[in-house]
Amino acid sequence: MYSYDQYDTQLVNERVAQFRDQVQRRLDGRLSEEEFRPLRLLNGLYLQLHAYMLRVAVPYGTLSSAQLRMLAQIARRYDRGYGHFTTRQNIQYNWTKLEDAPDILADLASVEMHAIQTSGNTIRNTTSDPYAGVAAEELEDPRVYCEIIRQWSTLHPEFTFLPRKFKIAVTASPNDRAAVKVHDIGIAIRKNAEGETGFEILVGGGLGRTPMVGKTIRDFLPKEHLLSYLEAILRVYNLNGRRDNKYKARIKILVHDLGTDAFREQVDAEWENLRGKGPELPPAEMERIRAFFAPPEYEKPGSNHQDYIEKLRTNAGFAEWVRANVVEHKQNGYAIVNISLKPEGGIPGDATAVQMDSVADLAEKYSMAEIRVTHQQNLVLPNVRQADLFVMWEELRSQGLATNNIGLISDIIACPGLDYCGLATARSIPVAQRISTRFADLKRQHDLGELQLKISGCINACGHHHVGHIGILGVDRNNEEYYQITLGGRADENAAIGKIIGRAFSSDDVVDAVETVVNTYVDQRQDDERFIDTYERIGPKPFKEALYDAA
Amino acid sequence: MSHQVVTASRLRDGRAVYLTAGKTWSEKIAGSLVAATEDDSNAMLADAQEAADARIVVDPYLVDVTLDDALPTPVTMREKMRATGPSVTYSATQSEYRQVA
Repeated sequence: MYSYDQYDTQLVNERVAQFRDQVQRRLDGRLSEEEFRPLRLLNGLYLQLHAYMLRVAVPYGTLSSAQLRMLAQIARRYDRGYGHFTTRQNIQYNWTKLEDAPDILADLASVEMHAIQTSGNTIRNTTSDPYAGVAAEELEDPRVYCEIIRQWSTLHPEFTFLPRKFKIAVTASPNDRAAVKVHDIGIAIRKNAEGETGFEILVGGGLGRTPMVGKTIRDFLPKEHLLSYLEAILRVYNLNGRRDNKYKARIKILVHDLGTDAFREQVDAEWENLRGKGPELPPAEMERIRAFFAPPEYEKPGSNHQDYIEKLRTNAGFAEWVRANVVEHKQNGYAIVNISLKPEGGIPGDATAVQMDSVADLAEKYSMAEIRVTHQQNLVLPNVRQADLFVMWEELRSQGLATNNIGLISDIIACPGLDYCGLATARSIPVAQRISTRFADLKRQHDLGELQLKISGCINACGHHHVGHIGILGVDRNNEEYYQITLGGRADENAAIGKIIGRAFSSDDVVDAVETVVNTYVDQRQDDERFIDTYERIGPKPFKEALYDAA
Repeated sequence: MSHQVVTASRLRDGRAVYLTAGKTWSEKIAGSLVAATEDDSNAMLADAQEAADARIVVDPYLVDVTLDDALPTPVTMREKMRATGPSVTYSATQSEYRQVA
């Protein structure tokens, strides 16, 4: 993985010193709250319902075991012993203190991490496929380009005060696990007719109060032009994106209002000025970055590979876990292991310091000391020998980390909601917990198959409800929590925005409503159709009838 | 007018706090000073603004409450959550969730 050079180190250390001084000036009165607020937000420090919340960037979701150990230590030393992994592949701490923030940032800097641009109207952490570099079907490791984008976008002086926040995702697989179609810019690595790899560029996707699927504005961009083309898009947006209305300020509104073709023309005109000049990628620099992501030395599958096959045959619990949580690796004899942070009745994405340390230990023992954070709020060990899977599974079980529900109904994305968030209108976590408990029977979950359920506690849609097969949006109605259900959303390569099925349900009724939706699917499915396939075949009507006609 | 209390975030640690009769700040809403008139509310907000100027708290504001045996309870969901803390267990209890295997 990438390792800081002298420039990264200097930049991050200087930023820690600068923020330490800013915090001191706030505490001794030289800065007012008004002056200080934008400065703390540039360092990922929010003031939430109960305390300061610090959001730490995990670049494209890749962590070393040493970094994960530091995240555990911060949870213990400065917080309440846990952290929350987010849909931006980041981690946030819910109970930090302003006076501790500079020390936390210094601790992060010691392991090449920071909280820069995890808030504010800036280019946020670029996200990627959690299986990047190890997925069997990917064209190449997308993290090379994520890292290049990270370096280009970090403290980019022209893009520090954009009309609104800006999110970029990169995938290199035909199976999109990075939700590139619902990002401000989505980048999909593709091969052209000549067999060269380059980028398909999508713009104007997003969730929030105006959900939209991104539009392709370039089918194939040669690699060397990545930064000049991105810079052209950002310039058009920075100049023409609306600043008069926060709710119309994202690039998706600009692309929608102009139309895809007119937007593309503006980008191309700007690109003419930048192409071949300014921020282009010299091949040597691309190769330098690529070298950091060179595949590790993999071992040939040994004789104990047979033991793994035997264990699969004889231990049903292990086999079920492998089926749900283990994914094919590009290297014969290796596996990609998902660690679910969605235990029955748990808080989606939360991990205790003890669990973080355990995962760091396991990564060192079995996964070449590397960990990934997924936008589904789980963790991944990307490089595990198949021969080690059984013993690792036993260790995961002893830590309560072996829940075999990846991609199933209890693998819920949920935002922090009104339990923590100052913007929320309703709670998300308790609804997630009750659904997880209602569907606790894993046999039933496996029978239901892939089913993505996503919950947001307000219209800002941090819980991605628009792209859940089943989406739940919490709303406030006369100081009571109600929940709107959307069906048919998806975040994959066939991304779609879910449709509201009907009137909202009370907190008491929403779990029953979800069960009614699920039972309707079971009644209607053909063969081994997934929920989303059945929904797309039969449409909303049977679900609507089941939910509302009986009453 | 409904009853009101004043809340803010404490500058140093961001904790939700409530203005008390002694012009101090308590993490418990139970100990807060309750205004019954608009004049009381304005006077309390002025005191709170002084505390903000003195860098004790950030962004003070009034919260509508109902009184239940003299115990103030916020009207809105948001302020209820703020007063009582997250409604979910977390932290040390997290690893004790029943293991599913």
